[in-house]
Amino acid sequence: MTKRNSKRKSIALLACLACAASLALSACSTPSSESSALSSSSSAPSSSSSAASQEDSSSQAEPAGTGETISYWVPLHSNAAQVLTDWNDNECFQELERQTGVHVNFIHPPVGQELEQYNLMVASQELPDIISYDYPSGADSAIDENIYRPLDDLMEYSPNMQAIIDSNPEIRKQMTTTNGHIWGWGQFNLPENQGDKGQYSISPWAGPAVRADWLEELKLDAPETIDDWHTMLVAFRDQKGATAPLILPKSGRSGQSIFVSAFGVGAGFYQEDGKVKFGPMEPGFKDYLALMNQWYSEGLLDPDFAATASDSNFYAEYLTTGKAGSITETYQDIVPLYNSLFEGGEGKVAAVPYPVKNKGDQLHLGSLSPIVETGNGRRDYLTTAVSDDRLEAVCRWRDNWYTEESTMLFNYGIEGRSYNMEDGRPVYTDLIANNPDGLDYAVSSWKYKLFCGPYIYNAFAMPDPQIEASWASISTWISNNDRTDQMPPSEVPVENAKEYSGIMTEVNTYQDQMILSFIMGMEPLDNFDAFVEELKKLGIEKAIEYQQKGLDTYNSH
Amino acid sequence: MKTGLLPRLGRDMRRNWPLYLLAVPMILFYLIFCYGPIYGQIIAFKDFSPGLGIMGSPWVGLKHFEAFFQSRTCWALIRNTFMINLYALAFGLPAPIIFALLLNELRNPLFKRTVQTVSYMPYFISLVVVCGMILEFTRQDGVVNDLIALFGGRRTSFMLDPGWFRPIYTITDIWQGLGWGSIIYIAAITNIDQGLYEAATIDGAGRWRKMWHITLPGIRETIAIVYIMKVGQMMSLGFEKIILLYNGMTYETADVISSYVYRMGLMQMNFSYSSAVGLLNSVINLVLLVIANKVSKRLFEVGMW
Repeated sequence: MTKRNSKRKSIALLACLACAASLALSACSTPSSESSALSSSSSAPSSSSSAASQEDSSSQAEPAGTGETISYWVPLHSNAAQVLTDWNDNECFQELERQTGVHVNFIHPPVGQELEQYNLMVASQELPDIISYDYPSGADSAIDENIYRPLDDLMEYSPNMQAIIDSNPEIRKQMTTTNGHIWGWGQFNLPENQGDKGQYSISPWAGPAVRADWLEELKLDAPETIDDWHTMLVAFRDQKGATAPLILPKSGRSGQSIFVSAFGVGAGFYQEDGKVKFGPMEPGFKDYLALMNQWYSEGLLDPDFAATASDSNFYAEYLTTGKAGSITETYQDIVPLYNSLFEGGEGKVAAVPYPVKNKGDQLHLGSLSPIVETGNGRRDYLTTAVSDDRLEAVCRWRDNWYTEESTMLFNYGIEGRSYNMEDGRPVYTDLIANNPDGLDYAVSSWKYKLFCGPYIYNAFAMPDPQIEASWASISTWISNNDRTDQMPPSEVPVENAKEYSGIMTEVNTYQDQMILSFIMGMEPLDNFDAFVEELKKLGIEKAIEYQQKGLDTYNSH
Repeated sequence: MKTGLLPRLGRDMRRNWPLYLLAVPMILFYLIFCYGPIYGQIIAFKDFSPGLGIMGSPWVGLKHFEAFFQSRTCWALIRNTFMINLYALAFGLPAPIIFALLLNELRNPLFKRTVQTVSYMPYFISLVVVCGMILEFTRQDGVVNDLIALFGGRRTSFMLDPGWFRPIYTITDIWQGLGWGSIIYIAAITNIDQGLYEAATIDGAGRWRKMWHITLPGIRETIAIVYIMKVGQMMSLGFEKIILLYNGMTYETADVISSYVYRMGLMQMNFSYSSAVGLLNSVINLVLLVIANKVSKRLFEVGMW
């Protein structure tokens, strides 16, 4: 009896212990989600301390006087991740280090976690020297909050970029924040680098594409109007057995307003004669929703589109296996990649113009590359972590990216290795043009040149077939779309940035849900007015007002 | 008669020092990772700006708490967090108990072990993979719909239907944790005196009677403790599985406090606001734990303290 009791007790004790341990764990898992911002600072210093140790070792290896190490935080492109884990594996940066004697410690966040990693890094104040990522509430906020350091008084160390800024008032405008600071180092899409006739200077980089081989087989012309699209999609569904004739992004609308723009409105903020508007609350958007709702119920869209990852690998699989016959939004450099994935070349994906309502309509909204490129990995910022005595070295090293020599290096790679000069014109070797490992240009160019980034970007620095393919997409997308209603790279004023982002968080959650509900027919379209009313209640009109302020300031610079 | 706590503790420490030594790493773990970060919690009452740091940011009182209660999503979040947990409690708690009871009735030891081992397996699959499988299986052209269509049913997009989110979440949770969760019950069952079963057999009790009158009472305390644990975890639901499964269509039933904290804090950089929401969550959590303990003391005469 006593034996049994004691045994029972011991088991109960054991259970208690096991449970107590998990209780304690669970109890602290709650605060950990918000305090991880703080606790993870413990992981951030480890990377900077490794930077410090590398600094020591490299300073011994380098010749005297050139032992500078610069830490550089930059997202790794998913294509780049296929061939390298660190930009130091890129041959351009190896060459740059040879030339300047400056070692760079690249810090790459895991692919897909850039925003989180960035926010954690900033919150823990463990900043590297240079960050290639936009501060979410704008460069002015970052400067005010003492995270980024403007280059205003450092331009003497950046003579090469100064020359670019001086050469073009539009560049000056885009390099300057609302509060008048020079925000950092940009990717310059100079007009002279945008094709022989400057074709690329206003190039759209995204647009719709279809299975051209299906069109041919079904004896259809490339679709222009929405009715053409409908005929085509029905044919894809009935004759080609496509289960998702059209790939629609997960959010139910293209960020580049493809299809939305046919109804004269944008998918988000846009402008009409200098007046900011928000697309989803305009009457035209209701027509867009009605169209997509009709197509959804007719089985022309992927029935699970809203639960499907928006990712180019997935799209490629759908397009190349015949599940889908067209895509709402894809990139000019991805189209050749799709085509390389067809086994035996039995298929072909080609760009088609932005759809319009009536034949001959002109559109004003679509993707647009400004002269100073926007987006993460395209704009570099100097952080406040750089001490005064290092400012000159860091700035001079960074400005070195804009020399003629570096421009050739980033655009073409190393002479004799990735390109040769023929008749005064650089021609790629097979390393890039016809990679021996079978790498597509979009992948190999991350190893032997720098596919894109904050340097003087030459849109024509591609092998000839790529130029042709790219130009075929771009000239198609440009044919009926001048994109004049697109918002320029303006910013919401600093004093409103916090409130603006608060409003937009609520608006985005709500509209994501409602737009999908409308398309999938769970919400009748008669409720569109109620939807607009709710957006107003959430403060969308204030957000528009702040966007307007930003636009006005931008235009007045 | 009674000596002070400290002298007693000191004497106990001298006597049982190896035990205390064993406890040191865990105590340090909690101090560093659970109690240390509590300091950072003060940003819930401040307007935290990374440039100013935790100490330098201005105090704003209860501003962030008020903002949360005024937000459109506040009550939906609290409701969703409760509901998903209620599902987990109502179905997730009995499932491993039933499984352990059934396993206990198996007489072929080889078969029993095989079943047990197979049932642990899902627990060791990475959550990301599990969620990928769930999304793939529940598509209109997925396995689940293929089965439904085979029996003449209509195909549905499960992951796009807000009504299906909680069942799918709960069912997959049970599937993943069933074997693992049953270990503790199986351990408790093996500890029940075999003499009781023999006596019951002599008295003419069948399998069901023995299960009801011997096995279940025998693991009552274990059930009580697991129940308190579950309630204690109620509000601190992990956000990982939610954010891997939800989408715009299912926000209304799927968005929970922790996924909201994740979105606001890590994605939107509203660190102060999300800390406030997280703190509120912890407070609710604590209250629930105390209530659960009271209930457990009533029902099972067992409590955590």
